[in-house]
This record gives sequence, structure tokens and C-alpha cells, in this order.
Amino acid sequence: MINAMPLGYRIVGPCSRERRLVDYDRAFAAYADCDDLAQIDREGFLSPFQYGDAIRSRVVRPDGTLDVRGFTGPHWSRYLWADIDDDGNIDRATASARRLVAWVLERYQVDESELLVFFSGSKGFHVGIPTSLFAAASSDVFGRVARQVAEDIATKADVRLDTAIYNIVQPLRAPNSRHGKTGRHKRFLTVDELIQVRPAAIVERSAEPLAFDLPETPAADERAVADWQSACEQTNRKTEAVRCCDNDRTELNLATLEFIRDGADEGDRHRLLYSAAANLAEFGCPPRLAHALLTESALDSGLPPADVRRAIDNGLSKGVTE
Amino acid sequence: MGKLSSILRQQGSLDSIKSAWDTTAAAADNDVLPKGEYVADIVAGEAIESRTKGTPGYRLTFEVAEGEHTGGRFWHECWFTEAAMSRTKRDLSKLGVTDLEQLERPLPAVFRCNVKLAIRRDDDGNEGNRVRRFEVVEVITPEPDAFAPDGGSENAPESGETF
Repeated sequence: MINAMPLGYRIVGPCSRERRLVDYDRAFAAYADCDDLAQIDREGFLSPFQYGDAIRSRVVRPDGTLDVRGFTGPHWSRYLWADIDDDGNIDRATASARRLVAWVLERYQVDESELLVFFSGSKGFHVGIPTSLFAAASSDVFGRVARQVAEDIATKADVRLDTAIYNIVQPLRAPNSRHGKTGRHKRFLTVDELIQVRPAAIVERSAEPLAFDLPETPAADERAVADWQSACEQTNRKTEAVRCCDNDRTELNLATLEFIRDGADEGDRHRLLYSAAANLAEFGCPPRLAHALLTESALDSGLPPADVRRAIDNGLSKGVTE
Repeated sequence: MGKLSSILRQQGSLDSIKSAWDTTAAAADNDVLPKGEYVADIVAGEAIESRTKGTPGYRLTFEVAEGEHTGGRFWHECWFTEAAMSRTKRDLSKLGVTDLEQLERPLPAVFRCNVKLAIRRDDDGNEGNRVRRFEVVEVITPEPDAFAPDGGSENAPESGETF
């Protein structure tokens, strides 16, 4: 079957480095296989989604360097990722990952060998649920629907997710790559390991990478398809609600006011900053004023200045076009 | 005086403390590179505004290419003010910039440089690197990623295109 979304980006080094256009499946498979070309002894990131030819319009240099800021084109992913961190508490994060995996295996017709589970190399876990279960097609809102589905699953499994990874161009640590701060690797775990191995031992095992086979692709599952459909409807309703924010509005979103006052916690910072900027743009807020209103809170939330500027600019562009 | 592991085991917290130890990175003293001479690549350039007065400028990102600090980054700002304009033109001309419009586009290549780097300390004791001077020694056409897809992009600049 031809994949209509074959492209992605790759970052070698910290996630502030250049994003270069890649054949996503080849790159992912190389990381899985610990291929020399993947350079797993270095930090490495892949795009959170795969893209079609639309992303080629963002190439800015002959070496395939991309400028992905504000990209809103069609995207898709082979896996619905759940990023579980639990404020850096490895014991709680392990328990959360176990609950989430157990819930997924209970609800959907999926074998545990068809899930992808990783210890991140630092403090958390990435759990990948194959999107073939959901019969999920690429779209401009794929990431938002994915987030809705993941949040629904997390709520039912009593798990807290880091939702930053559902942003269309947010980098996601590549399998087996080395974590810049800990020196450990994003290591593959079987579901058995996740369930049975003590958290401290899981951490120890991530000192070395581990090649793994890519899982089989399961068939669509009736419940999963219904869950995706339901999330699509919820996402569409939210989109409509945002579009209703027209020129008659006289009040800022509560979230915008809260961001200006209190900032945001890790995991939600980029999203809330972006949304606040978009909300200000709906009111015709000049860019300089938007930056002045949002920058201090954003910096106090721990975001680096470059991220702050980018998120505000992207939000302002979005707010103007909506 | 007992062993730490015994104390933690008695408290039932050995596993969680051990995990925290294993997963927590040691705090870095700082991210400032030592002063000295470096071989570094200019890997990016972007338009900026100063935070205090909104002064327009252009920031060059250098990445150390050789030695023990390979991969480390530092930055050099070129400001578009009357007072700084001659220095800005001097520095940007090293990259072949002769017209401001060229700065609207990403840098067309990687510029390998010899850089003399200093450390500046402000009144609060915060330290930061400062580029004393840099000289371009080589212009490197960057290579695509090892997993680059077949076929180029209509929108990509031609290889070898310069400012």
C-alpha cells in the first residue's frame, strides 16, 4: 500500500537544531534497528507526524532544512503516541504507563506485541497505539483528533499526559537515541517488561539501546473506530466554537487571561501561549502589544525566548486567518 | 553510622531515590564556553529585536566544529543602529551580505570560521559568551539528511545558490 504521507523531519542533536526533510519510515526503521546512519549515540528527534508533499514547500536550503513554523497542512501518524511523565516521578510514571497499556489492551482488539512502548531515557514513557485500529486517515486536524482520543483514553485510565506532542511540528525523541541530559537511551520495552520490571531496573536498562522489530499492523477495531469518530466530532465542535469568536466578541478567553496572569506548566506552555496569541489576534491586537502582554509570563513559565517569539508569532498568524 | 542504602531500605524509599538519582541530570555549572579560539560553523542566522528597546538586529548561531566543546553553541548579534552599523556591515559582509534583502532568506551555506571567544559578566554576575572576532575560512554546502527522500523540492533553493 502506498503511504500518502511518507515525509517527516529529523533533528540530529538537541531539538533546537535544524529540521531536515526525511523519508520518515526509513528513518524510524533505522533508529529501531540501531543503524549506524541513525547516529543513536547522539540526541535525535523525528517529527511527531508524517506529512505529504505540502511539507516540501517549507524546504529553505538545498540540504532539505525545513522551516516548519506555522505549518498546518495534512498530517498523519502510524502511532497514536501517549507521553507520560508524571512530573518526573519515575514510579508514578511507570504505574501510569502500566494502567494506560492495560486499559488499551482491555478495550481494543490489539495484541500487546502490536504496541510500541519506550522508556524515554529520562523520566517518562512513550506509548504508541497503532492508528490502523482507528482507521485514522490523514487530515489537517489529525493531531487535534489524536490528542482528543489520547486524552479520552488517559481520562478513563486515570493517567495524565503531556499534550505538547500533538502539536503538528513538535519534535518527538527518536527511538534508541541518546538523551542529552542523562546519557541514557530512549529504550524499547516489551509490555511484559513494563508490567513486571521495577522502575529502577527499567532506568538501568536504558543505559544501552536495544534494537527491536517494527510491530505488525493490526486491523481496524470497531470500538477504536467509534472512539476516533467521536473525537472527530468533538474536535469539529471545538473548531466551530472558535470560529464563532468573531468581531462581536468583547471578552478574552479565560485561558488567555490566566496565561497572562499565571503562565502555564510544562507540557501545556507552548499550546496555551499559542492559543493566547491567537485569541489576542482575534481582537486585532497589534503584534508588539501581544508580545508585550505574553512574553513575561511565557519566560517565567520556563520557555526559552526563541520559543516564546515563535509561539506568539504563530498564534498571531493563526488568529488573523481564522 | 549506617550505610545510606540501609537507611533508605528501612524507610522503604530505596527504589524511588535510586530512580530519581538515575534519572536526574547533574546541574551544569553553566552553558558558557571557556574563552579562547574556536573553529566553529555559522549554522543559522535570524532577524531579532532586542528585548529592552526593540532594536532590530541579526543573530548568527555558531556551533563549535572541533575539539572538546564540539556541538556547543554561542551567538553573535549584529545590531542595525547608527552606532553599530559599520561593525554590522563588516561582520555580515564576511558572509557575502551586500544587501539587507539577503537577510530575508536563510543562510545559503554553512560558514566555517575561526572565532575568538570571550566571556562577559554583567552587574548581576551572569556570564555569557561574546564573539571578539571571527573570520570565515570555508563555505560548506550542507548535506541532506541520510534519510532524505528521493526527489528534491521545487521550492528549495538551487544547490550552490548564494546570497
